[in-house]
Amino acid sequence: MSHGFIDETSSVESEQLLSAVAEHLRRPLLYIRQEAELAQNLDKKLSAESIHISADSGLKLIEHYLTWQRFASSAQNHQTAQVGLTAVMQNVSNELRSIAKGSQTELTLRSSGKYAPVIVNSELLKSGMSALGLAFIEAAGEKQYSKVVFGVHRSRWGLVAGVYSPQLSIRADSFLRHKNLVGSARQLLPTSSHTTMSGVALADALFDQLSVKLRPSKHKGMDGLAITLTPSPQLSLL
Amino acid sequence: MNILLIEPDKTLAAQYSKILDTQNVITLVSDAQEAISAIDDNLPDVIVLELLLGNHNGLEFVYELRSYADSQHIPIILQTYVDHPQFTSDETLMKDLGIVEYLYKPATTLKQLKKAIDRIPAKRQS
Repeated sequence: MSHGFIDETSSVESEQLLSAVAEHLRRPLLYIRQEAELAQNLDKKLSAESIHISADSGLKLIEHYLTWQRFASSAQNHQTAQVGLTAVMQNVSNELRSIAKGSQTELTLRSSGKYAPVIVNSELLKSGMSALGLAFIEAAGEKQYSKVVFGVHRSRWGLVAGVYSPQLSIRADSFLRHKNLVGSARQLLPTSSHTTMSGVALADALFDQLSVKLRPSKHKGMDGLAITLTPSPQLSLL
Repeated sequence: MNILLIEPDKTLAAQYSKILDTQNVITLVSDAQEAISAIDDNLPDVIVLELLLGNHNGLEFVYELRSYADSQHIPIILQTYVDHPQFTSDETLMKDLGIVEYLYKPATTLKQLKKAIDRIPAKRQS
């Protein structure tokens, strides 16, 4: 990671992420084009809701990429503030609710207990969780009954916040393979063939700016990807 | 015509069904395993295949399909995100695998897919 300029490594990372985003955007754009073609050829009404959802998910992905690029090339240290993890997760899950609904995916937040705030850059945290949530919704949404959970729990290393689904199996080796394939292959996770899951790569890069690692994690028996943050001991006394 | 559509993307599959189901019987499956079961139940007249599938990839499926006597002659239309020059330049490979059309998804309209399927009976008669 670099602050102050985009060095060679960041430049390669930027190209890989851009390539992954471009690859991903083909899906919503193709969907919108075909929906328009159906309306023209079969005199069917345009499905406004599904077009809106496709466009919204594509735009969100672009925004996450731009957020990453802005922070990766920023000359200053990222501003931090005390942030309630559960509140952030609630906020992000609310923002993704309409996309989840359109994908027939049940989106819930599971947070067991009250946690001390963490000190992070809230924009990076929100953007990373949103990119991750979006990737999971799109991947799980193809199943007949799908469920995506934003989860927060405590572990011996700190507070674990992540996105989980009973429909997706994400093991450490498949996640590592995913990381190595970013920018060079379309099908990044073997469990998901219809979507690139580029949001996972973006989330990984965004969390990297927070100096935390995105890792495979378990929550209530579900597989997922999560970060671990250390609550501030001072703030927890307040 | 009896069409087996192997498409892992439910949203796109629904769109393909809408344009094709006026005069055809469509069987929708999302992966190679389901496709083999569907073919066991009912031999299709044509298979429309995305190469990027979960678990087994599309080419593995084609080779497996061609290993069974009764499914060796079912024409296959590739409708895929894979932009592979080998499929467009190597006619022998296409012929050997029984691939009658290669359609690159981002550059193919629904109408072009429909036309490719409509050409199948004529090809089989010749």
